[in-house]
Amino acid sequence: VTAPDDPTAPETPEVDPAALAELHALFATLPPESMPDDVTARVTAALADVPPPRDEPRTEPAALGDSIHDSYGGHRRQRRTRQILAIAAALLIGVGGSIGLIKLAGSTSSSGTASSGAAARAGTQPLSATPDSGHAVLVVNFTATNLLAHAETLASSATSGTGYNGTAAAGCAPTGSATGLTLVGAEQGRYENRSVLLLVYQDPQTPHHFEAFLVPLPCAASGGAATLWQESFTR
Amino acid sequence: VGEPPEDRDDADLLAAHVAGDRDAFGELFRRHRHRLWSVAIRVLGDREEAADAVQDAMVSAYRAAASFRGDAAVSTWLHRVVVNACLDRARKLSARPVVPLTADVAAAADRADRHAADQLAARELRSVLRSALATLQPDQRIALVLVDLEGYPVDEVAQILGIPPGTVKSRCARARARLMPLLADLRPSRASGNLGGSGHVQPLAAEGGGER
Repeated sequence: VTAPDDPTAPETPEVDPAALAELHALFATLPPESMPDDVTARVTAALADVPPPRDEPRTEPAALGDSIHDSYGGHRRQRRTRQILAIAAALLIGVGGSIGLIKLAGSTSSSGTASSGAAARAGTQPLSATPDSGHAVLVVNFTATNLLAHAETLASSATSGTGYNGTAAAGCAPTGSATGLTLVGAEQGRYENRSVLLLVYQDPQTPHHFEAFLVPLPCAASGGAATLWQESFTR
Repeated sequence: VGEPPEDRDDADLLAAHVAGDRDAFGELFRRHRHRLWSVAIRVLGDREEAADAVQDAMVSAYRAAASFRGDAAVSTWLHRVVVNACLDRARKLSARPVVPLTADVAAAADRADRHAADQLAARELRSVLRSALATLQPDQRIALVLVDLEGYPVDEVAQILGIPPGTVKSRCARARARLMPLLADLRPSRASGNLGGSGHVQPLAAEGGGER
C-alpha cells in the first residue's frame, strides 16, 4: 500500500495489499484507448483555425511572410494546404464520406457542400476543389466568425514596407476603400458558397493599422471589386 | 529548420511553433494525442466531454506555447493542460444531479457476476469500471487514472498536477479504498469460480474507443 507522505493530507485508508493487487489486475483488463479519427480531425481543424501565437519574439521575422511574396504558392500557403489536406484525409477516414466535395473550374463555379459536424464545430470547414491543373487542392472556408482571425494572421505575416505581389490580386482592390494603402497579404477561400479573396492592407502612415476586405472572385478586369466584408484592426 | 517535423524532439517542435512554424504544433498533437485522449476519456468517461476537453486544451496550449518555460517536459506540460481541462469539466459534471452511481455500479456488477459462468461481458466490465471511476472525486479520479491506469510515475503525475508526490499517493490510496467495495465482486479472489475457471478476468476485446 502506498504510504502517504503528505502531512497535510487527512489519514489515508489502509488497503489490503492482496486486494490492491487484484484491483490493479482489474485495471489491467482495460484496453488501451486511442484517439478516434474523427476526434483527431476535429482537434486538427480547430488548431488550423487558430491564429499563430502573437506575443512571442519572432526569431525569423519573415518566416510567416513568405506567402506575401510568393503569392498563392508561398511556403505558408503550402503548409496550410498540407494541414487542411491532413484534416480532410482524416475526415474521409473517420466520417466516411460525409464531406461534400466541390469542384471548381479555375476560380469559378461552385456547388453545395456537406458540412462535417466536427469541422463545423471547430469553426472551419475544409473544402476540396479541382482547378484547371487537375490536382485536388483545398481552399479555406471563411465564416463571419473567423474572417478577422484570418486577416490578423495575414497581417502578422507582413514585413514592414513590403507590398503583396501576387498577380491573383490584380484588379481585386475594393472600390475606393484601399486608396493609399499597401496590400500586404491575400488569401483565397470560400464564403457563403462563393469564391472570395481576403485582402489585407497596411496604412504606410500608421503601420500598425490594417484594413481587411473580402471581395468576390473572379475580380473584374477593370478593377473596383465590390466588398463583401470589411474590418479595421491594429497590431 | 528543414528537418521533417517527425524527426524533431518535442522541445524543438514547441520552439518552432512559437517561432511561427505552422506544422510544428500539429506534429506535437499527433505525437501525443493517444495518451492525452486516454487520460481524458478515462477521467471523464464520456466521449463528447473528452473530445471537448482535449480540443479546448490543445487550443489553449497552442495559444499559450510562448509561456512554456521548459521547467518540465513538453509532454508533461501538454498533459497538465489536458488534465486541467478535464478537471474543469469533471467538476462541472459532478455538480449535476445524476443517476445514483453507487447503485448503478452495484447493479452492473451483479449482472456481470450472474453472467460470469458463461463469459464475462467485456463491455459490461468496462462499463462497471468506468462507472466506479465516476464515483470518485475528480481530484482523486485523475490521480488514480494517471498512476494506476496510465502508468505514469508518481513524480511525473505530481508535476502534471502541480502537487507534491505525497499528495498524489494519498489521493490514489483514497481512490483505491473507495473503489474496493464497488468492485469487490469483480476481483479475481471473489469471483474465481465465476470467471470461466481461469481465476482472472479475461482481457477485454477492443471496442468503442479502443482502436489501437
